[in-house]
Amino acid sequence: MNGMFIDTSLCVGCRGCMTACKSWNELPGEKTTFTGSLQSMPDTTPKTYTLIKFYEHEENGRLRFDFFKQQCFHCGDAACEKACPEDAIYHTKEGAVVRNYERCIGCDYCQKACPFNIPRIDTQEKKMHKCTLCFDRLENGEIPACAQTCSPGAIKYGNRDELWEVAQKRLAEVKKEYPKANLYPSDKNALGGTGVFYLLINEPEFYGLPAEAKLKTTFSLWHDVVRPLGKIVPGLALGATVIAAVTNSVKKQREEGHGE
Amino acid sequence: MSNKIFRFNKTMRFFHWSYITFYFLLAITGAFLYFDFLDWLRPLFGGAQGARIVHRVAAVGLILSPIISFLLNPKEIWETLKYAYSWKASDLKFFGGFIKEFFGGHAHYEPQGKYNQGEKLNIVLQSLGWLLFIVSGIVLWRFEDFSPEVGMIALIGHDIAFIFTLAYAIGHIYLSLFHPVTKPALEGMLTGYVDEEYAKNHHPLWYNEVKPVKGEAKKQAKTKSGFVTTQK
Amino acid sequence: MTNHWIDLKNTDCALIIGANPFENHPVSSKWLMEAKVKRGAKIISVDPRFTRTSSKADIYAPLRAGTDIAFIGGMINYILENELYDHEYVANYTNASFLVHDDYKFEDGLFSGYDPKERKYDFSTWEYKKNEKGEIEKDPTLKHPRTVFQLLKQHYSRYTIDKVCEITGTPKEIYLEVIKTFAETAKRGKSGTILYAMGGTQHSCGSQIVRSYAILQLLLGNMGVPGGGVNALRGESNVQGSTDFGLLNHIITGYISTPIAQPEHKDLKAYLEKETPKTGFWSNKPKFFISYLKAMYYDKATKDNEFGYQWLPKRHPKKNYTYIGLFENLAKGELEGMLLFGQNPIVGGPNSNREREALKNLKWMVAVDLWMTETMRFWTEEAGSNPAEVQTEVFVLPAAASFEKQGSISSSGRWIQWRWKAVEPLGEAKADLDIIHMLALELKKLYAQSQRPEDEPIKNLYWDYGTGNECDIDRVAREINGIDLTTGKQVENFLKLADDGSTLCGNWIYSGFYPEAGNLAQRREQDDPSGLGLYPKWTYAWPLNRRILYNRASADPTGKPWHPDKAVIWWDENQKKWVGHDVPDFKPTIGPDDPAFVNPFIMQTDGKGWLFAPQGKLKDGPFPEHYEPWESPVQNLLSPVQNNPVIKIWRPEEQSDAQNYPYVAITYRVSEHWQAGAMTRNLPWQAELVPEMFVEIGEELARELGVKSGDEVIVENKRGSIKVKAYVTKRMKPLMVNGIKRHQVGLPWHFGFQGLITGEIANKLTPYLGDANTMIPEYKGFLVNVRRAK
Repeated sequence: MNGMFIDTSLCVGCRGCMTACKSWNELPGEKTTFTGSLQSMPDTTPKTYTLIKFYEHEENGRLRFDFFKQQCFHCGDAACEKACPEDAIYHTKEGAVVRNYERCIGCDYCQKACPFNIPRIDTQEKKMHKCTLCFDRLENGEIPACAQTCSPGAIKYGNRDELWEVAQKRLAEVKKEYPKANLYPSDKNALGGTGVFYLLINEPEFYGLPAEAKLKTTFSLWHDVVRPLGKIVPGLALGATVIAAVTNSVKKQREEGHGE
Repeated sequence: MSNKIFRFNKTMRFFHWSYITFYFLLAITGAFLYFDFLDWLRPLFGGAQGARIVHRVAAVGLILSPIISFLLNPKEIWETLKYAYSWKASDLKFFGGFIKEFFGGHAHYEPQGKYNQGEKLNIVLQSLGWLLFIVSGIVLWRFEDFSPEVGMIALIGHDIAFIFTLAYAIGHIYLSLFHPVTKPALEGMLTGYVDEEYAKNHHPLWYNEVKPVKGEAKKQAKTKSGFVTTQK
Repeated sequence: MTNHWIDLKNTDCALIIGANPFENHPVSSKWLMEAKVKRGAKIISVDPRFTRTSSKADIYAPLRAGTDIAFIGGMINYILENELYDHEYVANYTNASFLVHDDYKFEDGLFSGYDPKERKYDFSTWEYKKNEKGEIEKDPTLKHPRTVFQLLKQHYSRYTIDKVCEITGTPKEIYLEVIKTFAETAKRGKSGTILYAMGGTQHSCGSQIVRSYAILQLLLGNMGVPGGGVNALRGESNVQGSTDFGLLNHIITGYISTPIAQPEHKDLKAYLEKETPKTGFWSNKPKFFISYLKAMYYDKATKDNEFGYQWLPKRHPKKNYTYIGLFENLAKGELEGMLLFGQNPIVGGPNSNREREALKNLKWMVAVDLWMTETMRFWTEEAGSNPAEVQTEVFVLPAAASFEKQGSISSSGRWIQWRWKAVEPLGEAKADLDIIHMLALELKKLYAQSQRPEDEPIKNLYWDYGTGNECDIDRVAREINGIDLTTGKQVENFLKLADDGSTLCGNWIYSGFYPEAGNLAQRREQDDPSGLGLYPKWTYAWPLNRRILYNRASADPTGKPWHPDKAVIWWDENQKKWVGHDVPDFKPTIGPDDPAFVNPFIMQTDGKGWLFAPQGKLKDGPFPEHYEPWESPVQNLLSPVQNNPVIKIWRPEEQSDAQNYPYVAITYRVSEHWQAGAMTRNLPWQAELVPEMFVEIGEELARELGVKSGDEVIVENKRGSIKVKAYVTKRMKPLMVNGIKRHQVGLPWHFGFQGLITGEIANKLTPYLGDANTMIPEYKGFLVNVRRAK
């Protein structure tokens, strides 16, 4: 299985990936205003699948200007896919988590379920949009547009196992420069193995990521308890009425039999 | 030919039927997200997006139904709620008998008031469900504006409200439409009157208070087992 | 670039000064990150702003804009004082051992020969000392006080660490770390590269700043080796090509001087005599120049008519044809019309308000561009003009974009890369070449019957690229390569050009890219046998497909590579010639017996790298000397001479003073926008990324001004005033300059009033003065005031 490794220690924040993404996916430019920094918008949108977030901060007196490429993780165990009531989200054979346009009704369950808050609903169009890992390039033997365009080689696409090894090697190398560096998810198999993983140079929380990459407790509660209950309880009620109908009619026949 | 006893006034009947209508519109349009076997019904609502609109319109109805009823007859609704929420430990015994009877057995109950414990539980569950539907539904209505965490909790709340109200509703429908013992109650919700015989057997405490007493037929006193029901 | 983009992967240390390559040349990040990851290379970013390049640098050193020579001068001094230089390289490959003219001196901030009235130097003492035979006197021990080496040491002895840091504002410990880290590259097997761009050149001492890089690199032995060099990151994808082809007024193609209407250039013979050095590769200049004349006039160019030399336009000796010079001439009403190809002067040029006023004197303007630009609409109210006052007729010609035409672009690494047309141009848009072609055909038709002698240049101009509206670009390419007129075949390369009129060649440095074998710029073979990233069969690098210039210097004086890891070419004693991975930048047959064997810098008359630039090659001194920018908040701490004494100042009355305009400003570009912005402010994807004009100010200054990020502020000086949003950042910190805290602010210059997104023009604030050698405007390091808009 292939995967994408985003090495933020190499990202120079040039945003070529953002333009390449819009170009390949034929997404329109959005009307933006100055946000107070170079970051173009606060968050990804239905028309912006990937966003470079900019962070200016100081660590131990050292000025830092860090970048984070926000996009879909393409989880092996994808909460969005499980949450989708319309079975509109699925894995392609290349491992991309994508959305079937026709089936999607824009209910937003996926976004709420996602541990990383990635899916975005176009409320006019009533469809969910997010990074597709350029599945339509993968199908044709090409790599995702962002990885293709990334000059410093911060976005790598290839054999996931090999990239994971590259990532571990890089982590060891950058620890000196970035003591807080970590792989994210830290566990290769977290979330069923994410199609996209990062080398972060700050703690995950710094970027607004959950400390640990895992399904949300509320999502598990909903998906594994409440939703089955939703089928079991009314089912039981229905079953009970059927049984009751039978037993009552038996009783009635018997009583009528008595009467004869 | 037995006499009829007045049980549900117009407000209650309006409330009941309007609520049911909206509830089922909501249940069906909502259940599209749960059960694929209902898919054939979708075109009726104009597909998924039509169903979402119907769901929202019906939601407004569901919210307004008890509110309007309350405005029409605040006392009736208030008293009903107060009655339904008044419980004592021995009330729970009712359910043992109920289950037996539900499946055709013969049960012996302690004498019941205007609403038996099962009906009271229904009112409690549906009213709590109503609240839960509204609170979680507001979040779901503007889903994009809420954080995923709040959204997820709202989804859980909405689903739980649905699960329990639906389960109870299924039982309730069966009892009112098919169950030989409780079937006669339906008439009360349709016309406002129930058979005196039924009232006497099923709601003796209430019956004793409201049974026709010469000269005092129209005068009904509030008792511990029921409350004044006007025609309104 | 003396080296090329991919070669950056071979470096051990990249000193990035006056450049922000990770933003403005993102391809550099590919190779520098590879150097960092695979070789553990260090990246040093020296910049007034902490940029996206700085974000990935091992060392970030802030400096005050325009103090680059002080910064580099201090490095030179430290390296010399502490003997960190590559002695063998310096002694053999540079002019360090040459003795300098007895009367040469540097005193009180001035070199010998200064004429304060003319604001010019007399160069006669900027010479080597020669013996009776006319040979340069040398001291190989470098000990003689009049050697270039000793004079260099003496010159920079004033540039002590403390003094430099007082001038530049760089914290001392960071500065020392920079020096020590970069000086490491003098070691065998190590190489360091200097990357610079407009942050290095756009100063009143711009040329000398680049010279200082060259001196530093020569001292460290970094020229000619993989991962070394002085590398200019050109501001546009094809700006290298445009200068190669004589875009600038003082040169024709291949960096040959444009004739001047003066006695020394009165005829071909005089011109060649004056312009051709006796030694070095430039001694071949007559071959290139006459082949060029043949390309211009073909059969009309004969021995008898000086190959048409007199038809070439001559510059007026007193006129200034540089960018600002042209606009000042226009302001004086000396120009009638203007052809603009992809140029947007009132956004891209300095002193925009002044230039807009000057444009009003045009009778006509023809502007060729992809979009409607600010300059095409200079006469509107939006531009600040009164339309009723402007009589200029503006013709707008839609141009084809790069994907809509074929041709070559030349990268900073001198690679001539052919590109094919991908899509048809939109609407009526045409390739620039076709527009020129149609214009040339029409002009030739109009002048065909003329008998006036001044029309002969047009009548005799050789223009055989087809008669239709499309220029036969293949014929153009063949002509550029050069043709042997006796055989009618394309020449193999410029070594085959002749000075007798038997060859024609449009641009000698490109000769060889299109031999009989075919157009080599179209090659896309990805073999890299050396592993050095030379990719010899990927397109064609001028000259002669050489990938690393001065590569003779990658080998030691005996002809062996300095280090096996950095081997490029070497002397093969068996074959008796230079062999290796790259095309030798050296006559391949020159062996150890020849004294020229140790002269790697073949373009210089003496074959040596110049620590000392003789003969007024640079008009403002043989050694780079620090002078303050024209507008500076401080006195020059190194000498009583405040500004570069030979710079051209057009409008002295517009000098903004530090009392009223206390902040040092620089203009710069961002990744997301392109130059004057027409190409990106009209692209929704790019417009989205940086939607508004802003001024970058540090948190401390913002606090003083009571400004938050996003607030509107006025940035102003004597030339103009603009209202922009404040971008308050940690990345702009005040510097301690001579004990006083100084703030700097940064302005992107991409914005104007046309396009999907608009914003104020930063160049309304930039001054009208030119560097002494190139006349490049001082876009970096001028003074402004910043205040709240409300």
